Amino acid sequence: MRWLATSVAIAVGLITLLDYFFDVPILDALGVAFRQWTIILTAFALLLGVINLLQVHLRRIIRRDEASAGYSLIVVVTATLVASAGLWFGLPSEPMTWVFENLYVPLQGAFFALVAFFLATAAYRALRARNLETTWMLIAALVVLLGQTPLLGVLTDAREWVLNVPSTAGVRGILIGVALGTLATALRLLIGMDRPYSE
Amino acid sequence: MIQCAQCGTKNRDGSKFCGDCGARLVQPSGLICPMCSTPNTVENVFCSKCGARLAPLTVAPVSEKTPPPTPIKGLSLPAKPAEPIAPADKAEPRQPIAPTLKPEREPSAPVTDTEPASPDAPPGDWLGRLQTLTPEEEAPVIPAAETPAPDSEPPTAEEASGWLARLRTAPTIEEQAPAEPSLPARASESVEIAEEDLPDWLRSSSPGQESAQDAAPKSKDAPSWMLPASEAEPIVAAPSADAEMPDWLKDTRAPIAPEPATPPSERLDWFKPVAAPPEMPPPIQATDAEIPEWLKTLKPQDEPPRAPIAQPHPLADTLDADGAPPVESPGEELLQALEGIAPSTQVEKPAWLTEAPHSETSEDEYLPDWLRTTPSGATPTPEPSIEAGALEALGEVPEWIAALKPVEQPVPTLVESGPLETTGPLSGLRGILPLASAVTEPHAPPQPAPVNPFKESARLFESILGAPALAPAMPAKPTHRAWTMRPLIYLLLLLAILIPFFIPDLAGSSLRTFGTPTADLYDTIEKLQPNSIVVLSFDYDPGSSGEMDLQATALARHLMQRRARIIALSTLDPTGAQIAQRVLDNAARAVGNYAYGTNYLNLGYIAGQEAGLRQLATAGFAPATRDYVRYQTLDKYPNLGNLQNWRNVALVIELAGAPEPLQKWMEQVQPRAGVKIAAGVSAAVEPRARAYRDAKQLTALMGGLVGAAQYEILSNQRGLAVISVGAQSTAHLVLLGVIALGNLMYWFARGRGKPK
Repeated sequence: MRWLATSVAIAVGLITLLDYFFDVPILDALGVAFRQWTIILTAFALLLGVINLLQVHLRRIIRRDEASAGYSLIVVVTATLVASAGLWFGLPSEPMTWVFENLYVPLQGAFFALVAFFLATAAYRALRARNLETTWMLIAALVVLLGQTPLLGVLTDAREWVLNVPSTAGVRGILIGVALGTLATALRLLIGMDRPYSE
Repeated sequence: MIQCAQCGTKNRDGSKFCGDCGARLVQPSGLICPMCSTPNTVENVFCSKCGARLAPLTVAPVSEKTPPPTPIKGLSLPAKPAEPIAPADKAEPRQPIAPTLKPEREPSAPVTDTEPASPDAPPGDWLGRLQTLTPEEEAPVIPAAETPAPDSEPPTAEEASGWLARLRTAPTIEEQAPAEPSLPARASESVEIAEEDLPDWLRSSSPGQESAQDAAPKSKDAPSWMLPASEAEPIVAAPSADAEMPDWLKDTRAPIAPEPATPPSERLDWFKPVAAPPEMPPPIQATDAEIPEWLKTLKPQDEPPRAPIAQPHPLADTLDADGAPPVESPGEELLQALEGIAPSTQVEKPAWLTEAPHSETSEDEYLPDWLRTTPSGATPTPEPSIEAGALEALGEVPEWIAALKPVEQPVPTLVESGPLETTGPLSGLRGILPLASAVTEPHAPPQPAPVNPFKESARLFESILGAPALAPAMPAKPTHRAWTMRPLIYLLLLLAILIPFFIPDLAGSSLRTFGTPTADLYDTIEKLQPNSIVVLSFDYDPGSSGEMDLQATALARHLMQRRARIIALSTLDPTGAQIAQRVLDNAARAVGNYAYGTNYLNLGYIAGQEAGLRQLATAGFAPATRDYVRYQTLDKYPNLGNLQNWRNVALVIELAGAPEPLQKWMEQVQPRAGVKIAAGVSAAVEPRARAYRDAKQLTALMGGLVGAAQYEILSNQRGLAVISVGAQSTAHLVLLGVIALGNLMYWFARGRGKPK
């Protein structure tokens, strides 16, 4: 049955690829159908992720792992409560908006805000001119940091140059590399060399 | 036709084996030579081909007493009741003399009770027939004329070494009482055999008859090879002191196992030697020179020292009372030889063969050398070697006699120069065990002593316990400087963030807005026509909402001010829909007169990642699409226009807190839909988004908190973004100070040689 899976995968990939380049009604219809199937499968993947998360934490609770059983219990209870509220009141609703605005967003923001303190200590220990390379990195960091500081108003053009020239060049290199890798992977999938769907 | 003697099957002439049972067939026409299997005539005494003797030697029994039919262990020879031999003309073809003197070829037959021969007795084996041979029949068997006379004197006992030479010697020991050969099975008949009927060479073996000197003149009748036996001088046992004999040899002269008591009337002559009378002359003392080398060597190995038996045999007195004078005969030696080569298994032999007495005093002298190792019933050990010259000199010796020669075995020689044993049963001997043979003997390599694994484990455990304990590696304590710097940095950073909130417009006046990417975005929105459809994609999560909400709020307000119809959605995760609803609701309340469903709509989360975006770019917003708040299809919102065609969309603003959603929009939607796309990204995504802006894929770009503040300033709606950018500026200053402090301390420590 491996040949059947490979044939289906190659056919779907080729139809979707041809739909990108040619405006043919039948290809458009097939492409739309395949994408809708993909969206449905992705939604099921989200459901599978939720189920897997609950299984992991329930297993920890059953094993009475002292290190993580308490946190797992909190996860399971809160997930059950939020899911029940969402299913009962629907989205959006006042209870769900309250949970989101008063629990989810502040917690996420707080975790993100802690990064500032971690970055401060990391800058103290890492941004040191130990050799030529670290010196160049230190100079770039100082230029961008100073140009990003409106209070000083210095090195703004220098910051723009650093972000537009060296940084963008590096980003483009990364994007081109990712594109080439994606192209190679797509070709391997289309010719059947890689069959992750049948493993 | 040859009839099988075993199963009676008739076989063709010339067959050697029975076709039915496989038994070896014998030719009825004559005697089969036991050595070469050549058929001979019945009258032949020697084989016509190889010269082997066909008729064994026999002696006339002299004892009138019938020995008890006690089975005697030893050589297994067929014993059969004697039967009178019919006249030659009437006699049936005699059964071939299958048995030979070789015990291995002789089928084992139980010794039956001897009974007088009867004419009805079936034709038996050669032994039974020998006992019934009449003098007339026996005479031609060994004719003197047929016996080739020796050309010269036969080799003497000294010249013919070994057992064969002694066989040719017929010594008589007058002092001793050797066993008499007797044929118990035919005792009564054998007594009647006239002496002249006996072969001449056997007359000397008659007990109590002639001496060796008398037998000498009649030696012509005897076989030539037996002549020396009759002419040899009797060997008189020379007494010697017991001190010269090893102890183990003394033990060999001990009486054999006690025999059942027998009345004096039934005593046999051959029992006399067993009885060792107290007045028995000293036995032959064998000196070291007389003891064969191989016997010396075998002595300590094969014969363990035994305590000498001081008491004579219980039968000694009774047997000695009327013991007849011993008579020695060559036949006796032959019988003794037969016993010697007999296997030691528990087999029976004819009674007449059991007459070989265990003469302690004479057997050492008269027995073949290889038989001397069989004292007291010990297992005979063959003589190691026989001189080849002696056998050549005795060319006339039949092969079947030569076949009795023991197999040569390598016997380690006794080292004469070894240490002399002074104590114990081996005292007087030198070199008990040759050193060379002891070394060359195969032996197993020395095995190491077995090691107890538990002991090894215990020893290892003890060594571990005894080892000096190492100090556990303590975690490196942070230096005083590092311990104090971290909270100081945290404290400074916290103060730098909080203080600007109490100083409004700390950095707003310092922001440059002209000519920035943010200004391009502002200009793009300013150019939008009223009621233009603008799609806002909220692709960031609550973690980055602190930075991105400021951009989204500034943009939403400006769009609402421009009376644009806003279509919100999320392609990153479902939380984006809630964020969008919150931002739009706040902006609508701030702007006023801007209602959901009429001026703006939230379509919620678009699943499928790339596929969802591709589907959105291809088919647009399908009529069946439901909104996030009211969960109604798009046809319920006629004021928002036709969203199925991207041509109706004036601008797409991608609010990305991560680079992936922006990349998907750039790859899946922008090339296909051909719609203008602007982006508001976080500061971390800005370097990535600059590449799309430089490639004109992005119409405008707003980056980070500074971009939000710039947009607030541009849209003249100063708010939280401008305040936050002040806090960000002070935090940047703190970071600059921390970085400078770290480098100064590093260089200071490096100058002191202690870089950390």
